[in-house]
Amino acid sequence: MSTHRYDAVVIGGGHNGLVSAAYLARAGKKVVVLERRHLVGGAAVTEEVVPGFKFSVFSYVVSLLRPEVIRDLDLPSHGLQILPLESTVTPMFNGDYLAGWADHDQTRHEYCRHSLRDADAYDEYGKLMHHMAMAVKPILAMVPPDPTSLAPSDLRGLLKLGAHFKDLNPKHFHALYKLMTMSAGDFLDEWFETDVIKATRSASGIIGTFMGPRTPGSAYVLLHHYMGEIDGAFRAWGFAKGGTGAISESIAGAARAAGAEIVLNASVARVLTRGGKTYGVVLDSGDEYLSDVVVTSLDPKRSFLSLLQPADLPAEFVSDIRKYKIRGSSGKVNLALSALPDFTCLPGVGPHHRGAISISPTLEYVERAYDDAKYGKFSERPYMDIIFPSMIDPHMAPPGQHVMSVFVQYAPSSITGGWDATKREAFGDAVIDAIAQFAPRIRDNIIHRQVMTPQDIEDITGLTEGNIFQGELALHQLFFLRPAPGWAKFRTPVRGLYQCGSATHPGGGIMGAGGRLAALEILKDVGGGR
Amino acid sequence: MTFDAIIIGAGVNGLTTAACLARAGRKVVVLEQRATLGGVCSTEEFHRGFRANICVDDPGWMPAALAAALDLGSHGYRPSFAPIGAVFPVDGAAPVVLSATPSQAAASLQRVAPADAAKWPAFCDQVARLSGMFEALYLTRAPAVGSTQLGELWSLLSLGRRLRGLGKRGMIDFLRAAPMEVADYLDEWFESPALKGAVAFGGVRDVQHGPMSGGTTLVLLHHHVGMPAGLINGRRLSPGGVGALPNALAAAARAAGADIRLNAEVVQVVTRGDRVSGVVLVNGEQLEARHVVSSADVRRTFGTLLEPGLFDPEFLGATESVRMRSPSVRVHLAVDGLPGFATSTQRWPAESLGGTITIAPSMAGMERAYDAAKHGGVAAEPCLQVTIPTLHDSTLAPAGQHVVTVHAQFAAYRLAGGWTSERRSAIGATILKQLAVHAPDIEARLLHMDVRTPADIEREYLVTEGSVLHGELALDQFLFMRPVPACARHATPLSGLWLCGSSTHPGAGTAGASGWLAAQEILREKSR
Repeated sequence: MSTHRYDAVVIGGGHNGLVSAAYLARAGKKVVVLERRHLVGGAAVTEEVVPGFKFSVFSYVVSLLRPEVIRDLDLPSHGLQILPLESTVTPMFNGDYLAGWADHDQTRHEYCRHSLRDADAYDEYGKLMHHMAMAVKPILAMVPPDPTSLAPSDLRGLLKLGAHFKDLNPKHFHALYKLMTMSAGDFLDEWFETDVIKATRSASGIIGTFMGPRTPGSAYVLLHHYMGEIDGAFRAWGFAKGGTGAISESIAGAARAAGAEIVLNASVARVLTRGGKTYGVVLDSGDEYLSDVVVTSLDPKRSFLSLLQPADLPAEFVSDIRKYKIRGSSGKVNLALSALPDFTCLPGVGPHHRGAISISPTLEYVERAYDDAKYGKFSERPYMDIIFPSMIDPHMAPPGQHVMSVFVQYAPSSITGGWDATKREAFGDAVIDAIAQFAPRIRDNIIHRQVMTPQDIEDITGLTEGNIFQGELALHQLFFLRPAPGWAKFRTPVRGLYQCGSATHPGGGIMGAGGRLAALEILKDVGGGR
Repeated sequence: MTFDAIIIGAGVNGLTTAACLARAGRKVVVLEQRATLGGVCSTEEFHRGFRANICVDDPGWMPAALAAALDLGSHGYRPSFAPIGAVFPVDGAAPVVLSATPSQAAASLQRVAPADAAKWPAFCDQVARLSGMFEALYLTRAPAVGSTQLGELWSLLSLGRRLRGLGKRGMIDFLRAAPMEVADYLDEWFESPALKGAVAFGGVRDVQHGPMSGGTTLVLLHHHVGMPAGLINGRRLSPGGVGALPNALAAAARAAGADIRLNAEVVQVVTRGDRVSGVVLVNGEQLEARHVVSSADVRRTFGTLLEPGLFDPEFLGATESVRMRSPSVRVHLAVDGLPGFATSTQRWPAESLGGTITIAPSMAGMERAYDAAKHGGVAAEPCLQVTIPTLHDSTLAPAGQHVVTVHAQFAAYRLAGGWTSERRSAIGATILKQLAVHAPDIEARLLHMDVRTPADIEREYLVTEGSVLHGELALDQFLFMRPVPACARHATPLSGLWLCGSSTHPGAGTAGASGWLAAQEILREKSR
């Protein structure tokens, strides 16, 4: 047992924890990051599960990483390189396909093949969504003001927000309001007539949530995913060279360069408190890391219900955290392949293998996948988002061979009877069967199959219920309500304890916004910084 | 002959607008396509000697100031509240009776769910406080968000003050609750699936959403506006059924000089220059007026009564996108005696039958019923709200006989393959079978069964997709978004054309509030 003293202790070496640490270290603070696993990254890791095959085990694409984080931490100089994903192809039951491209005109051209009306609508839709993303962007970088508070800083924040929305023209304001409240399916119905277009677009509205395309609230998630930007271009998804773990490594590199320490295999057992104030943490090993500032990047259930005692917190806050909905809904299947699968709709190897393949042939297909999950089953025919990382970065697999990343919905964390090895394999089989609808010979190519259920994701990364967003992106859990009313400003009821994970505003995805905003708030409280 | 205003439709809102305008000295005529007043709020004979509330069981909340202004009491509308809200069966025991008095309801719950019973009064209190906030929103024109005019800011500020009156926690509860799934909302309070199923019905009533859809808590709170705190999923009663309200409104309107014509279907609104000039009836007759006020729903108004060329295509597109999709089937049974409700061998107490008998054993079951409609089908096990109006008004049926009304969900308006008389009979049989589980003698007592699908209600009452709410109640079709932003304050892009029906704020089953606000807007314009 040993005791160490720091200016700030960060619990969890996921991307947000690392971002917080980097910002604090850059402000001259003596910072340590405590990571339970043997590698940094949390759900953003690359691991060589089979010799020669590198899997982005959980999170697999990036688009939401905040440009200010990339800039401030100079991540490219620490090895961050994002390679664009050029396309999304949706195989259809009739043997045809729908392709979407990074280039608007190319996509429009493809839409013409399906519907001239939708091709026209796509122009307007693209413009609108661009405006919407621009309208929401400033809010991402904002500490949410509390509308129920009369504190001058909150009133100032609300006025600023009011002024921001007043500048929107009424048409855009109403569209934004619709996006905040509607279902993705209903919203898209107002724009498009072609089912496969709606199905594929609606998929962005369900990723990471326990909602179907017809569930009100899913249109917001559509927008959330639309806000991604790479090199300033909205709605561009990319793949990090070296896999998603390379993103975490680059942030860790920036943190270390600024003087932060990162301790691996360091599992925090408890946050230490005295008189309503934290004074550090203690590890499972008994080692103590003492500090007046503790930053947790874990989800709120883990932070407040397991690292703290209920007696440390106000009862109302504990009850709000218990009410906070996390609900894991997604699984991940990673495949090592001897060769690329052959899709019936586009035979042979082609550019589609360098982009995403979306298994969303009809809106009803996706909705029925959700229906299964509602009643405690994994989807018999799941929605999937597939990429071939080795086609973008050849170092991900041995020469001539490939890795395939399959994001799957739905796999409810609350599966009836709980997850076990049999259900995991059955789930893996369902995924392969569903892919085989469109690539019938896929099974011949599989060398190794890694199946991650929400339970596995929880067990490995610590994310409660395996939810990739650390909690549902539902309207009643956003902005000043995330993760709990009154505690959306990265502070907690325990003085000196801060939160910086995806369960804080603005929410999930590899954004790093929470990590950055939390660090800036801490520096406001304790002084320091530039 | 030229009128100041022609009102299309003698439903509750149309009659309200007519009465308000007539009392302000305007020359008004109301044109109703049916032979009966009330639109979907009517009580009609469905079998010789048997009368039922055909489309709705409750006329809905009416602003007290409106009832007073029109003196509806002296015109025969004096509603009372049913003493009991939801009543639901519990396996092997007497039913739970949610009386309007929360402590009595808690006592009834005590046997089956003691933890829930303890929370019931606090739950009723919260629902009452939150729906009270909606009531405040419904008393004024839809807020103009984003406006910088002083008057608008003032009204927003006064709403803000009212919101602050809820206290910090109350404010959070309010802002948090509206967008929630009613399933999540109720899970935060209760454990008993039977209780949650019975309460959740109020969150999906007449909307094509299951309890797991976001925004259904809004629907629950909306339907509770104006109700006594404990009367969850309760209803208003008045002698003569829900049709008593339009009758009283018509009397008030006539007393103020309004003319009401039945069997007068408007087929077109005509224009001269850039404003409306009148209407054409189905018999070819033309009537002229400075103002035409449509109480028809937004899609019917712009989709069938007006030339599309008069409007911007974007505006028309927005009106066409308003979601209607009624998921409700109405079944009226004429029975030769009071049916015996029983669970196992235990007969339900007679007084429990006066409540809203709710057959919705769990929220998951309700969600499954919704799934069927979502995919264009009919629920294999529909959820039911059963009322026996003859227990409160024996004149609705011959002596000793009764009317049993079943409100069933879910069935898709857009049924795959379309509605046919076979499909209608089939859903009727399914509902009857479901009811017979709890009322075993219902089939033996049955004299006549009347089934109305969403398609039937659309055809007969001319409400698009059978939606008695004139548009799904959802956050994106609420307040300044209802029915579309350009018509949220009853005026339309066409001069002289107004909307006063349930499609407009606050609408969705409130009684006369839309018509009242519309009349205020029209009078405000004229006084300018």
